[in-house]
Amino acid sequence: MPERWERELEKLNDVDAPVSTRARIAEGSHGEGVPPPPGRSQRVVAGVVAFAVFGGALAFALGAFRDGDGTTVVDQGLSDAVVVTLFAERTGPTATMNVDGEVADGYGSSTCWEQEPGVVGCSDVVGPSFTVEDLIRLDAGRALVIEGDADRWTAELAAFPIDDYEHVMDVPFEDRVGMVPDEPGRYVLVISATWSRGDRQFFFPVRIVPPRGSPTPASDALVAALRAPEDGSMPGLTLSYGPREREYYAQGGAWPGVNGFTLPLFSFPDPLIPGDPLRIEGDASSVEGELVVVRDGSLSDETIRLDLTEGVADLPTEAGFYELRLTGTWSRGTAAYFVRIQIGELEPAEPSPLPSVEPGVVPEAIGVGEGDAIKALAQAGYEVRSEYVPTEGVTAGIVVSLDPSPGTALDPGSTVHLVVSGTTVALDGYLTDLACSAVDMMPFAHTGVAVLEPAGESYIRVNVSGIQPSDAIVQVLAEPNDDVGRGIWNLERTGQVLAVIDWETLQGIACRGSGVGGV
Amino acid sequence: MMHIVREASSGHDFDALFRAEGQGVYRTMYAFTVGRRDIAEDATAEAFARAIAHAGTIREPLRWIYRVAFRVAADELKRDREVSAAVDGSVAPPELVGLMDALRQLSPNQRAAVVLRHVVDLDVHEVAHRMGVATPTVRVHLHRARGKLRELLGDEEID
Repeated sequence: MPERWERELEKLNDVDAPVSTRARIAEGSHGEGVPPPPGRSQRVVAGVVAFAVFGGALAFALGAFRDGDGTTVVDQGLSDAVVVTLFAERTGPTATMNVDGEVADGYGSSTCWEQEPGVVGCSDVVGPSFTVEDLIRLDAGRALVIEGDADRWTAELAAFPIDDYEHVMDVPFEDRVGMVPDEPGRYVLVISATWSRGDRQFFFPVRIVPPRGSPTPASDALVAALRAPEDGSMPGLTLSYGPREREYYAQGGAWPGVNGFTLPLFSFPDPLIPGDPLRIEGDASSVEGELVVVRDGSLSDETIRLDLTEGVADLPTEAGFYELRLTGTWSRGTAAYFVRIQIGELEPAEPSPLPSVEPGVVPEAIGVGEGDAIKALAQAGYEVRSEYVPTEGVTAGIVVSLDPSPGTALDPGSTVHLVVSGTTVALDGYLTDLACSAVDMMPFAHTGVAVLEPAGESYIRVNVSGIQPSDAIVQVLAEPNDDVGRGIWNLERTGQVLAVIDWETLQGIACRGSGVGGV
Repeated sequence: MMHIVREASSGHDFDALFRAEGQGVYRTMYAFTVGRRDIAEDATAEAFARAIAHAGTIREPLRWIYRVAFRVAADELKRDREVSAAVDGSVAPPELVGLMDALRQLSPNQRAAVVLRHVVDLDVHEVAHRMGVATPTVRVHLHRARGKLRELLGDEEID
């Protein structure tokens, strides 16, 4: 039966478009672009002005360029240009971007193309999922040159990633020469190109950085601000990276009036780009720092010391999880902070394939994840009981034996007992994008096992890397989940709900204190 | 990516499309803009007008129309916020005031997702196509939107 909020939504069915809408359609389109708001115009103007200044230096090159056939880059000021080549092959157009000899393919998006005379093939493509590791680094102000045989093109920057298409700014071109806008940040460069046989849109994920030699702006660095409050209480740490900012309280040190520390696991929600700088700000007289490499959710004994004497140090270029440890010193005392960070974006582990199922026979499900085994057994018509037994050398969550054993003839409806390695079900993966203002985020690993239908509230002990096994409980929420995927996992710790995640996307849906979804 | 070859000369019956789907587009834009009839009409009309202008190059007109409508509506909302004296085109009828107040608490994408799913009655994959986003993104928008609407409008079952 519909709930009250659904009934309220249904009232929209009584909202009708005005009769004038038809006439308005008949008038025709008002153009491809809605008149830009003042702010955006100013940006475009600024870009054009900047180009004109830059273009002065290129005047000779432009003149020489116009005289040519337009298919090759002219030297003299354009020798270090970023070159985008648009080329029509028989099957369709392609685009590549050459940055200092490194060539990247453009992601081909919406297109209409005449593959045979009179026969046009069109496709509309939902955008790709770019990650931070796909980003192509471009220096602001650098020349951007179009080569190839396209008749016309336009270029624009859209917000990164491009799941929600949001136009940010145009990239103006004069003939084949444009310029990387002086707007550091992450974008998707969208190039729309046209030939006589059709057109195509290409996406290049880019990261615009300040020109070499200029100081690193705040938006391009992980900024750690350590500040002592005026009321004398213990200093806090604020980490900011791009638009994201998080506050953390101290977990160690020596400060008047502070007698002990709680030790939750703190982490920073956004992945950092490898090699980005860490900048220290605030009023501490000195700050020391180090990174501890985290493997499988646990601290390793590998430590990377950070030289923060100049107030800035580069983060590692190797993707992975790390614990950032900062200790600030003030005249009153010291404060230490421990925050898990992620550098680069990592793919979750591939789930093992489902075992093949023959009706009336116990399937071969040894060595697969518990969730996949349950699926296979359910498909064969069996009830399942799981028992967890620590098994040395076997990853937690993997089936080590079945009773009856695989290959045994067994009537559907009978029960098969699984013995699963580990005292707990391993849940690996990591949490992203929790929409909470203040939350302890847990980077944890998942193995993709134990997929359960939300048939009610059932508690399973889980081993979540990074927190004590006995503290973590997974609760399968008793609510319809056909729209959310394979299940909603509610991660609880000693009775306190920490987070609700979408199993399929490993995206945070709600977390402690948010009040969303009953959490 | 799908490649479907069809005759370039074949067209779509936009009149029939507007009759069948126009209200759905308008209602979605109405909710997306929290009751801005002027922007909703503009976005709907502009999207259909552009679709007619590009008819020969669009394979899936309804998805295309929705994506353009969202873009136009979002651009106009953004432009409106920056204009100091905006005309208030959002006087909602009394029976919708509670719903509009609740929708105002959602993000634009959450509004779009929940209306496409629960009013236009699409599955999540189609919602994703019409919003121009990935399916998992829609799921997250839906989950957050429903939770918020339950909290604001109530979750007791009504016949």
